[in-house]
Parts: sequence; C-alpha cells; structure tokens
Amino acid sequence: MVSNSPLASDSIDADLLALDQASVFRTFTATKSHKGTTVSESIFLLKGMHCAVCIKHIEQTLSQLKGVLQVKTQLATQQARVLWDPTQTRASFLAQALRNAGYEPLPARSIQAEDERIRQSNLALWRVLVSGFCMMQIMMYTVPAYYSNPTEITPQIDALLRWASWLLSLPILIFSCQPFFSAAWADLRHRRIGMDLPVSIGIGIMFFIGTLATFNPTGLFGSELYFDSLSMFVFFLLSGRMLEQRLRARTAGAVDSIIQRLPQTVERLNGENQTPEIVSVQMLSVNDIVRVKAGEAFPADGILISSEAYVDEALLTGESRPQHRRAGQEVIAGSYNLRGPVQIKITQVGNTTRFSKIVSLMERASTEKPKIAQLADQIAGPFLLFILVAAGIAAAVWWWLQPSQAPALPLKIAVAVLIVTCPCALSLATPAAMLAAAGVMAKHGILIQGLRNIEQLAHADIFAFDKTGTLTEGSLIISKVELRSDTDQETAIGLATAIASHSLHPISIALQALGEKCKSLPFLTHIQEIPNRGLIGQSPEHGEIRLGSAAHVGIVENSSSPKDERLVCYLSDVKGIMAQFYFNETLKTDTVAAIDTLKRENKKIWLLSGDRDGPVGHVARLARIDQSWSQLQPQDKLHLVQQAQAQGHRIAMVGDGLNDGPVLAQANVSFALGKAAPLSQSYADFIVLSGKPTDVSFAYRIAKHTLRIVKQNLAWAAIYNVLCIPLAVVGMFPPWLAGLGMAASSIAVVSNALRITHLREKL
Amino acid sequence: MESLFLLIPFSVLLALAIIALLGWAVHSNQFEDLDTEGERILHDD
Repeated sequence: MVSNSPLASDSIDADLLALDQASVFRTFTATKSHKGTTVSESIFLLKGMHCAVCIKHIEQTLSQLKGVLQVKTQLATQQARVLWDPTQTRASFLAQALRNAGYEPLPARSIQAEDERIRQSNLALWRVLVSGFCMMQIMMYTVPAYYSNPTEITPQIDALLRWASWLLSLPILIFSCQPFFSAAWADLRHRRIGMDLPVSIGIGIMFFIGTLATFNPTGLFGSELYFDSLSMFVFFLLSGRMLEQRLRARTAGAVDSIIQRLPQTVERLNGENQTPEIVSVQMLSVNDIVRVKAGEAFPADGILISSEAYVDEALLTGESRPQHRRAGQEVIAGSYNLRGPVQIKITQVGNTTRFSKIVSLMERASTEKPKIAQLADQIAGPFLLFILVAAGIAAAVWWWLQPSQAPALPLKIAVAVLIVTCPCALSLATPAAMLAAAGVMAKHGILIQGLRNIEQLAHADIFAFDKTGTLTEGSLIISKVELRSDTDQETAIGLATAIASHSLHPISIALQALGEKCKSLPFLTHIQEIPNRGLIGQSPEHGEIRLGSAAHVGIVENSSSPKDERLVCYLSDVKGIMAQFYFNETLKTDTVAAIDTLKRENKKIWLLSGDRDGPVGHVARLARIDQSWSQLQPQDKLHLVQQAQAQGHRIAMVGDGLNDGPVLAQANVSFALGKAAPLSQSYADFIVLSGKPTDVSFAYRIAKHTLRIVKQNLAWAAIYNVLCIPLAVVGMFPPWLAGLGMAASSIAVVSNALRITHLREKL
Repeated sequence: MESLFLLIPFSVLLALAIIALLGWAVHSNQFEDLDTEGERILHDD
C-alpha cells in the first residue's frame, strides 16, 4: 500500500523541517545498506504511545508512506525505528505523518549511542547465556565424580569427562570472563584495586590448577577440578551485573525521553527587506534580528526592538509574574514572550547567555558533589588488598610448612581463601537490596538515576522544598470575593472576566477560569493594559472599568497588606471599588501528609522560595513547615545548602524549576517533581513522575528500610568472612566447601534483599 | 559404558552448537523486545 498523494513540502510544520537540516539529521539517522541499496535508518521517540494498539497504528501509518521500507516499534522504549529510502522521502515527512496520527515525534538523541547500547546489552546477555549453558553441562560431567565410588568410573571415562569439562570451560574463560579481566587490567594500570582483581586472580588460579589436573591427574596439583565452581561463580556474577545494567538502561531511557525536545528553530529576518527565514538556533549570530511569537522562548539574549513586550522569566529568576520590557531593554534567552510577536536584536548567543551560565553552574555543582562511590572504593580497596595478601601469606606459610605437598596444597588454600571471600556476598549485599528498592520505586513512578542515591536519601536529615509546583499547584485560585453593596456577584465576575480575557497575567488567567460559568460576558471597548498595574476598559453601562492593584484603582492599601499572604485584585467603576478578589496558592492535596510523614521521621523541613514573603509564609503555615526563606535567588539557595552541609547536615532538595538546577546538583540528594524543567530533571537523582509530594516521603521510607537491609547484609557478609577466612587459611576449608559457603551466603543476602519488594503493604 | 565414548564428545559439540544458536538469536535482536511480539497476534486487525 503506497499512498499516491505524498505530502507536499508546504504541509510540513515549520518546526519539523529542522529535522532535515544536516546538523540535526545526523544525530538520529544513520546510513545503512539494505538489500544492496543505500538507505537511511532513523529512530524517533514517540510521545503518546501507550499500548500495543498504538504500535499497530504507528506501524500502519508509516508503512503506508512512500519510501518507507521497514518499521519496528517498541512499547517499552517508546521508539520507532524506521528504514527509509532517502531518494523517495524525507525525515520531516515521516515526522509529520506521525504527528498527524497523534504521536509527537522527537528525534532520538544519538542513533550511534543507541546502536552501541543495544550491541553492549546483547553482548552482556550472550556472555551470561554462554556461562550458564556451559555451567549446566560442566555440572553434568562433574557430578558423577562426586557421587560415585572411585572404582565405578573407569580411568578412560574419567579422563574424557575431565577433558569435556575443560573444553567447555574455555568459552567461559575466554569469552564470558573477559569483562572481569579487562576491568582488572584497567585497575592495575591505574594502580587501583577493584572487585575485579581478586575475581580475576581466583578465576585464573582455578583454571590453571584445573587445567593441570585435567591433563595430569596424578601430578603436583592433584586431581581436583574447579571448573564447576568456576562456571557457577562466573554465571552468578555476570547475571547480577547484567540485571543491574538493564535497570540502569531502563531508567536512563525513561529520563532521555523526558528531556528530549525538538531542535529549536527561530524566524530570522534577513537583510534590508527583512525577509523571514526559518533557521535552527545554532545558526544565529550576534546582531541578527529575529521574530519571536507569543508563547515562544527567546532563543538568545537580546535587545527588544518592538515597542514593548511581556516576558515570563520564572524559570530563570523564580519571579512568577510577567515582566514588562520596553524597546531597548534586555530580554534573556530561555525566558518566554507572553504577548504578540516581537522582534529582538541578538546581543549574546551560545555559551555567553545567562541560560548557559545557569547550565554550567549546575554542571559545576554536580561535579563537586561528594561521591559515595569513591568512599565505597576506599573501603573495598583495603579489604580486597587484605584478601590478596592473606591468600598469598597463607600459601607461602603452607609451602614452608609442608614442602612435600607443594605447590598443590598451598595453591588450593589460596584458592579457598579467594573463593570463600570472593566478594560475592559482600558485593551483592548492597546492589541486591538497592536493585530491589529501585524496582519498587519504579513501580510507583519514581525513577532513580543511580543506585548510590538510595543510601544518600536514607542519610538525609534536612528536606528542602521549593514552593511553586512542588508544594503547591502551579496556578492561582480565588479564595474570596468582596462585593460593594449595590453590586451582585455575577455582574462583578462578568466584568472582571471580560476585561481579564485581554491579559496573560496569572491573576487574569485565574479570573477567566472563574468566569467560565458566566452565561454571557458584558461587552467592553478600549481595553488597555498598564504594566504592573492593571487593565482599563469602557463599558456602556458602567463607564470606565479598572481591574488591578490598589494604586491602579486609586486607593491606598492599608499598612498590613504588603505582608498579606494573599494577592488582592480590585475591580472599580466610576463610583469606586466594585469588588475585591483574593487569591491563594493552593497546596497539592497530599503536601501536608508528606510533610507530616517526614516530620515523624524527625527530619527538618525547609521551604526555599524565590517568591515574596507573604505567599511563602502562608504556604509554610498551611504545610506546617517551620523554617522558610523567601525572595531567594538561585545563588542564595545554593549558599544556604552549602552552609548547612558545612555544618554536617545532609540535604535532600525537592524542586522543579530550572532555577533549582544548581541547588539540586549541590544537595546530597535531589528530587524533581512531575513536569519539572527538563534540565533540572536531568540533574535530579530521583524523578517523581506523578509530582506527588507523598512519593518523596515514600521514597525516603523505602530508602531507610533498604539501608537497614543493606546493613544486615553487610553484617552477615562480615561475620561470614571473619569466620571463614581463618578456617580457609588454616586449611580446614576445602575449595568445594568454600564454593558452597559462597553460594549459601549469596542466597542469604539476595533473599534478604527481596524482602524489600514486599514492603509496599507496610508503608 | 562404551557408548559414553561417543556420547560425551557429542554432548560437548551439542553444547557448543546451542551456544552458537543462542548467539545468533541474541545478535539478531530476538531478546530486545519480549512483550510486543507476544501481543502482536492479539491485535491483528
């Protein structure tokens, strides 16, 4: 089915055309050969894809297009992989078809990275399968030797079984173990000791002894094979690592699809005639003149050419009210143009804009972050070194004590020491519990950017919240209306709504929501907005109507009102004030529950806001938060957090706006709630998709519980090692018993960790 | 017991063959998406 009416160029949305520009095109499209011809392969991330029926729909939509050769859609990753013929169609055509079908197409960030990820994950899976299959088969060959009398198996059959085991352990050693060896080698070259070094040495010695025993059972190293222990050990270790890698990839994928956006395009006015041209933001330079439509973000810092503009700088400064700008004044990249198209002359692009400065501030803060991973290495390093030294000394002492049995006995003891401690229980203790916790959280829509963050969260003692959008709903609602005695409510609301419909101020928007119930709105003329004051209009019945601040309607506010937590808006006609509207920010429904839960856990709660004193104090009282700060700039928040950290506190920061980015990165652990700015999501350690504050307290309780289980696991692993190392050193632990002990301790640790998955009912 | 002289080498070859088969399956992305393919038959028109 090939559609006979290909999309014409002019039916493609302007923003999608950017997908055909070479710099963008390269990122999500690769050139491949398919059945002898050169074709393109593109990956689109699709928003709005929820079920298997969507897959069918998407695949049908795309495969009906001319030039599309193959479509593969995946629900889990929300991706469509399209193979298409570049001589017959274009990427923007495909994207437009997807958009028309109701799915918002976003170009994948990097098709090369995605292909590499798939290749790596396939390789990891194959390594596990190889080791697992060889393990099963080696067991088959080994078990008879354990359970039969020595005379039952003829020497020939015995030799054959040995050779078969040896042969099947080769793929494990050469292929499956390769990650351990290369990591150990990398560690050695950097003069570090990692978990992979004792693992590699243990594997190496086991294979070495096993090989000698295979071909010379009567020789120095005895007849004991270690291939069964070797293969089981490798299989368990690889499986654990693969599961962790998959979890990480899934979380990263989810985050990717959130932060991915279409490449920004902008309308540039070229030359004297000001001919408009759509270009991508990267192509702008200083002194270019661009036109920015209402609702769009300014692509770069610039000077306003049009006579006036209203901008929303909430993401950058935390100021939630629209700012008025006149011709010649500055506008900031990343802030939004709220009304009518305006023209700006660009003064700064790229790295010099304030937007990029905030981004780099965030990056710096995140690299300065204390790394728990380093701490873990600091502890693990000496322990692993101790094991290596202990194994070496034990072997040396036994060599000296019993030279007649050397080198078989000393090596056997060294292997026993290495296996018995082989960091299995120890290395599983933490990740097993944390993986289980991450799984539980993921089920509740809480994404984790790294397992180590669970420990940080469990240790946090101060929870600092941002206000707007975190504790409160993002929009204002009317709390009270006061009317003049001769005015009825419907007239007042009707007038207010009619005049407010000409403004984008948050108060106007809230008033419009109120007026939706009105049957008909009064007719007004000559409507005019005076910045920072309000609106004026003419009504045939009421004369001049004003809506806005106290000053705007000509009264003096009483002295207490600047501190008032509520925003007040006045409506007046020629006779004076007709009505007063009071607005409140509303708390999210479960804010109080979340704060109470955290307080019961003896956490300090902070409220850090860029907003004015009044509303901040009000929200703090409603949410029962004791400590609040208002009118903070991003730098002030950062400073407060750093100060508290210097006093030894551990801070969990919960926020959403872009201006929270630096402080999210500085805090010991951070949450981004709901529809947070993409940038701060990418820096947050936890992403709460539902945006509910209770999910923060839920995550904390899981983290706390997880840490308890981790401690139990570590204690168990420590006791096990303390008991077993001396036994192995004195030679009372043959390697097979060491292997059993290792397996048993691992199982104990993993089953303890699995208790976390049943935690939900209790919390 | 003599049959073991044939069966043991044969089992080794079989194991290697199965590993190769798994390798082919993994690298042709058979394990990439386990959910969609199973559900596809339920949504065929």
